[in-house]
Amino acid sequence: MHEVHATTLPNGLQVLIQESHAAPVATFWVWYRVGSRNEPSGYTGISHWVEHMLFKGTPAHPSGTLTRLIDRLGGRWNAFTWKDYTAYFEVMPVEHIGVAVRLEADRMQNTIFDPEVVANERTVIISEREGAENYPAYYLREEVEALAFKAHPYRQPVIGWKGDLRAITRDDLYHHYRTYYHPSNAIAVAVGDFDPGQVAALITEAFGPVAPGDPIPAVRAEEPEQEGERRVVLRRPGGATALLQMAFHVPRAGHPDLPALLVLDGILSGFKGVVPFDGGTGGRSSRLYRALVDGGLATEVGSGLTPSVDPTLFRIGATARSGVAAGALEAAVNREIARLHDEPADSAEMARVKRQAQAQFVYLRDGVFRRAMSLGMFEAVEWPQTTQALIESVEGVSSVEVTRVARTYLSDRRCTVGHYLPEDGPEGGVAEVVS
Amino acid sequence: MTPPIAAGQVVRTVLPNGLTCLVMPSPDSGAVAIHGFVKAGAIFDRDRPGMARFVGSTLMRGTARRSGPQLAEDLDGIGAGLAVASGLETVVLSGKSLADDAPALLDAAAEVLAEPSFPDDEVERVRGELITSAHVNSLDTRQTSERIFRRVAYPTGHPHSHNPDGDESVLASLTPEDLRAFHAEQLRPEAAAVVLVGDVDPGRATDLVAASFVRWPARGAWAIPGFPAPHAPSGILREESVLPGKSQADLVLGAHGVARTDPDYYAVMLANLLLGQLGMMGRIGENVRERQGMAYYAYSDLRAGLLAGPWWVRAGVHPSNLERAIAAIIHEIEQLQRDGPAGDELADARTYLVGSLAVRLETNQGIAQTLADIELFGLGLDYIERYPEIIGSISREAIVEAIRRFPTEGYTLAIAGPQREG
Repeated sequence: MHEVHATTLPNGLQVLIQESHAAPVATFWVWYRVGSRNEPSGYTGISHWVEHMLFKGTPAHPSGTLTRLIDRLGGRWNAFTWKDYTAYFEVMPVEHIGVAVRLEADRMQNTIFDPEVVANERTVIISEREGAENYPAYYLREEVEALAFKAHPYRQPVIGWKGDLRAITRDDLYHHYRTYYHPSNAIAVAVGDFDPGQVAALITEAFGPVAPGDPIPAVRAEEPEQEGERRVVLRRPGGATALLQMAFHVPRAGHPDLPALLVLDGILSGFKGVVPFDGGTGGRSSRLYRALVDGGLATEVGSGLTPSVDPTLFRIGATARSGVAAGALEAAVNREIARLHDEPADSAEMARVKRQAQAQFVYLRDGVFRRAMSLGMFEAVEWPQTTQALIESVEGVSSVEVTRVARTYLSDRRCTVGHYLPEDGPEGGVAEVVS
Repeated sequence: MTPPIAAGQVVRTVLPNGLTCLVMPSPDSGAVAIHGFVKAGAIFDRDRPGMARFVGSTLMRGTARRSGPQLAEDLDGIGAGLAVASGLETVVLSGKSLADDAPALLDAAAEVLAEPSFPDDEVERVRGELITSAHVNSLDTRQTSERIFRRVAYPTGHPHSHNPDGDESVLASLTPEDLRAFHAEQLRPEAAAVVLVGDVDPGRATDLVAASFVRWPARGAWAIPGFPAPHAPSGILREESVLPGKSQADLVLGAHGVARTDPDYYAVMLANLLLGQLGMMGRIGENVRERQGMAYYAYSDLRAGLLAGPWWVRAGVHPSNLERAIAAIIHEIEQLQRDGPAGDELADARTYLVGSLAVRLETNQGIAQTLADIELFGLGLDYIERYPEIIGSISREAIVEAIRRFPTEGYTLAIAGPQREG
């Protein structure tokens, strides 16, 4: 794999560039250090809404022409907002990568916040939220997060509370945009079939003249240590089967216990990549799958943690088989946690998880998209570690360390438990033939 | 520009048992991707909806050589992934491994397709999972609107009329013997193809596939069963289901589409692209989402397979906006039917389809899946090389004619969502 060229422009923009010659394509990303973590009470969802607005045009790229421009060149583009970051990307035939670079530099500074467009987007985002509300698992996740954190903004949903979505104004959005969208709060990432020097020149030309911007407001909230188990039971119609979600407080990205926690997660449900949305390859030989799915209690079970700027959550979730109670799922998970506390993983199991980790890191090389995503994510959560160094840290984790982190972090005192219990059935259908 | 898949790069071999094998090298990735299909999906369920799904879901749960847990442990032990999904027309197998582990991955894939054992305890476990999944989907608004659409738009007995989850009574009653019989009858190497793309020499890769899949005995000719032809309704067939505890209503508005091998396929595909996909979900997205702010998603989709599937518009809206959204969708279809593509809209669609090939085919998985489709629909190994010419040859008139096939006065409308006020 080619080396990553890391530089910082005089205006503070961090730039990461890596060559990849497997296919004649390139990807360009801009990551902003802003997400629901940066949202004060009453303004939840504002970062995600600003993300939507960045697709609405600038004076140079008026509304509607942006998408057409990318389509016409055979590219694809999108964006996503998370607690710690908002990321924008294009994947293009390599000869058009300059278009993506110039477009991102333009919309970093010149996005139009037209009041009428803002009004339309309000209802689009409320519709996005209501689509999620159709799933009880979504409500349960909101309840568990809001309970697990009492001081830190990680308690807030990324999409925002509906009341805030109804109240946020055009000027609030514009202010949020001006506060967080500037070079000194951003990371540009390019991976593709290009000469890195040429792409660096394109980025410098497009972003170099942009004013650096003021330092962003600090997030001061610190989550106090949890003093005892927290529990929420959600009863509402809409679901057919019980759900379990458990969340344990764990440290931030870059903490020395992270590699051991990733191995612990691998033992519980298979090793996953650290790239957002990665699910790993298997995990059907993992402890949770064996105990809950092979054990006939659940149809699905999983665990994981998202490396984060501030201390975050290690999550375990399961969907009950029809007729199985949430309490039975929880008891089975607790038996597996007790096993982790009491006996070290044997060498075959440790070897299996580490082999999964090695394979995940090789799979990361397939395609420019995921490679760029991992580079940007590590930087955005201030995890000063290369992929190679992370592989080596994971290699070095011993079963003794896994036991230690299991005892430290998977404890009742750090745990929030959520049960979803279905209520009522369908009300039956009404059929009519109109004409 | 070099096409991402050129006929000269792909080695296609038909093995003695009738299995088609396609391999393409992708140096330096360090990994391989596998993608395979068997024409053994729900289309073969006949009067037992859920049969193919049950069989497909149980293939990974034990083989003549390994128990399910052992197979899982072996795959996890090399960091490989292998999954089987059973669809309407095909059972699809996909997976990946490190390049050095390609033989082990192929062995597992061959065992799963050729020698599943359907152990009693695993069959019971899968039964519970499938029935639970059917219960969950019965309260899912998107799934429910699709189920209603299928039941109303297609005659009983037509493969597209079935509940994709299967019938609960069928799932509850099938025995391991039933599953074995379906496997023996339908999972034939002659009806299958396996594609391997990755960091291996193509000659060696073909040998590896042949060595693994030699255990799959030839079974001879087969045919897709007959079924009643669907008829276009003379009016609008509308059916709604009220589900408790929901915020949003999901709708499916559609008609009968075309098969992937239909001569008109490309014209209809392009018409659909303009209608509900290009840019932010085409003209429908532009109206329903961008101009009226009614929905997070509103798009159209053409399900063209071995059989002609639905051509439908799907959207999720607040219940109070349902009628306005439906009117906007019909308005956009009628306008495109009346006026045809505007300005450079069609040129944009063409350059998008051709220009995006490189991006769509940048990963091993993407290439493997595309090669599998090329084989499934008999498109020819030079398909990607010919693609720009194919797209360029579809006239504006053909596209206008294709969009006019969408029956705005005789369609099916299925809705699932919360109780509406008033």
